[in-house]
Amino acid sequence: MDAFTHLLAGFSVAAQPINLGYVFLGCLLGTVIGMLPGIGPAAGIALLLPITYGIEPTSALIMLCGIYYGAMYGGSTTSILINTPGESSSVMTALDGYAMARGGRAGAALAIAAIASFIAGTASVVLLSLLAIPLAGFALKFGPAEYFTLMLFAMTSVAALTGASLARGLLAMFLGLMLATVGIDLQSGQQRYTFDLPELQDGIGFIVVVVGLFAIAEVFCGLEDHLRGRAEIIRLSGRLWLTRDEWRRSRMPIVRGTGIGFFKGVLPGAGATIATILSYSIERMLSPTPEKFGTGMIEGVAGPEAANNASTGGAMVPLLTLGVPGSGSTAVLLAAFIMYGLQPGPMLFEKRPDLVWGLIASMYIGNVVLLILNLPLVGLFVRLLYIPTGLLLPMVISISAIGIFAVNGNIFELYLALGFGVLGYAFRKLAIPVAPLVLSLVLGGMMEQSFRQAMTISGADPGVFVKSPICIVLLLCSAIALSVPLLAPLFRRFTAGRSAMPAAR
Amino acid sequence: MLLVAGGYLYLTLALPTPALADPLGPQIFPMLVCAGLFLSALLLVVELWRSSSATRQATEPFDRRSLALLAGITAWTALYFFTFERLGFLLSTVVFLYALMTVFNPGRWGINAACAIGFALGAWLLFVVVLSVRLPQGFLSF
Repeated sequence: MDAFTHLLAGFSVAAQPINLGYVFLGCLLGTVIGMLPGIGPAAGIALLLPITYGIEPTSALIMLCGIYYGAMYGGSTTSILINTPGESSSVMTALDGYAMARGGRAGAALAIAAIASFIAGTASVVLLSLLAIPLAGFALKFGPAEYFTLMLFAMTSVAALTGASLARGLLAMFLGLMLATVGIDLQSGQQRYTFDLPELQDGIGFIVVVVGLFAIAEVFCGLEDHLRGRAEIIRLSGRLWLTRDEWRRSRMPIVRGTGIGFFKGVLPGAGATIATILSYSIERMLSPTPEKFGTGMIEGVAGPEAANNASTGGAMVPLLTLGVPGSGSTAVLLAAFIMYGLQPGPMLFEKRPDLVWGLIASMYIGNVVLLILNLPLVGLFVRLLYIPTGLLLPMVISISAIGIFAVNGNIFELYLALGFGVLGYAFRKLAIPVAPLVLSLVLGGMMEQSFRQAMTISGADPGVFVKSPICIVLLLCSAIALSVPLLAPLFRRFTAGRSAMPAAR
Repeated sequence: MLLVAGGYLYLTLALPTPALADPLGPQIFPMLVCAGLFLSALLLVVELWRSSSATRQATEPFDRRSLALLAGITAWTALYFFTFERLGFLLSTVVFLYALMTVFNPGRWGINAACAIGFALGAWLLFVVVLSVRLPQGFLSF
C-alpha cells in the first residue's frame, strides 16, 4: 500500500532523535500552557510559535503538533482539578471530571482522560492515514444550512442534557447567543451592542468569558465556602488509578467518542467542541442512569476526552487535503505552514510527502509521549488539590489574569472577566448551568454566519433548512434532544411500572 | 421568584438596541435570540409553577454575608487589575496575593508572604523570560 510505505518513511523522519526531542519538548510546554485557565491549544500554539523560528520546518511543525496535543491534555487537567476548562473542548470534561475530583476520584479522572486521549488520538491518526482523501469529499457536502442545523443540534443537546432544568439550560444558551452578537456584524459592518466602546468591537472574547465564568466564579464560591468553614481538603479515596469497574465502564464510551470525534473533526468548524458535546449527550442517553451525569460519572469524562483527541486527527484531514482548517488550532497550524512557505492542499501530499507523513508519524509518537509524560505526573497534579484553599484560590485569580492579559494585553478584558466572574457566581446560586452559555458563545458567531449564508443562498426562503437529508436528520435529532428532559420522567415511570415487559419505543 | 425576575430582566436587556432601519441582515438573528429568551423565561415560569415548594427553596439564597464577601473580593480584584499596568505585574501581584492570603489563610504570614512572592517571581520567570509574553513592568525597570 502506497500510504503504508509513506508512513514508514514518515516514521523514519519523526524518529530521528532531534525530532523526538522536539516532540517531547512540545508536549511538555503544551501541557504547561494548556493547564493555564484561558489559554488553550490555539493560543498556546500562537504563544509558542516564536520559539520555533530558528528550527527547520519539518521539525518545527512536529514540535507544534506536540504542543497541540499537550495543550489539549493540559486543558483537561484543569477542568478536572479546579473546574476551569482550558478551552471550549474541555468544558464537557469539567462537568463530570470535577465532580469526580470532589468525590475523591481525581486520580482516576485524570488517568482516564490521559488514556482515553491516547487511545482516541492514536486511533484517529490511523483513520487519518487511511481515510484522508475519501473523507474530504464527504465534508464538502456540508453547506451553510447543514452547518446551522448541526450547531443547533449541538447546542440544544447541551442545553437540554446538562443540569436538571430544561428552561435554565435554554436560558443559558440564549444568553450565550446574545453575547455572541456583540461586536461588529461581519456581513453588514454594523456595530451591535458595543455601546461605543472600541474594546467591544471585536466582540466578547471567548477566553474572557470562560475564565470569568469558570475560574473566577469558582474562586468566589470557593472562598465563600472557605469562610463558612465548609471547604475541606478533598482527600483522595481509594487507589490513585482506575478501578476495574471504572475501566470497564469507560471502554465503550472511548470507542464511541473516538468515532464521533474523528468524523466531526473532519468537518470544518469547531470540531472538537461539538464532538465533545455529542459524545457527552450520547453517553448520557445510552446510560441506564442518566440522572447521575454531572455527579461524577466516568463515562462523562472518557467519552468527551476521546472525542476531543480524535477530532484532532479528524481536523487534520481538511487541513492536509484541502488546505481548510478544521478548527481554531488547525487554523494557527495553517498559519505556521504558510509561514514556512508550504501551502497545504492536495499538492502537499504529492510535493512534500516527507513532510506530511512525517507529521502524521509524529502525531503517533506525540500520543505515546503524552501518555508516558502525563500518567506519572497524575500523582503530581493531584497534589495541587492539597494546597490550602486560602493559598490556591488567590493564585488562580492571578493565573487567570495572566492568561487573559497574555492574549491581547488589554486591561479592559480583565475587568470584563471579573464581571463574568460575578455573573458566574450568581448563576451558580441560581442553579443555571454555565456550560450552554459558554458553548453557545463560541458557536454563536458561526451559527449566525451559516444562518445568514443559507438564507442568502436560498433567497430568504426558510425552506432551505429542510431540503437536504443531512439537515432533516439533524433537525430531528435536535427535537429529540429537546424532548428528552420533558419525556424522560414520564418514560421512566412508565417502564418502572411495567418492569416485566420491555417497553417498546 | 428571584429566578423569574432574573429571566425577565435579561429579556429587556436583549431588545435590540441598534436602531438600524434598513438592513434586514443584522437584525434577524438577535430577534430570533430574543424570541428564544422569551420562550425560555416562559418555560422557566411553567417549571417553577409545577415544582413543589420544597424544591423552590432548594436554591441557595443570597445572604448578606456572602454578598459582602463577594463585593469585597470583587473590589480588591478590580483594584488589582487597575494597578496591574501602573505598578507592574510583580508588585501588584505580590500585594494582591498577600492581602487575600492573609484574609483566607490567617496567622501564617510567613507562608503567605513566601507563596505570594514565590508565585509572582515564578510566573514572571515562566512567562516573560521563557515564553516572551508581555507582562507590564510598571515603574520597575528590568
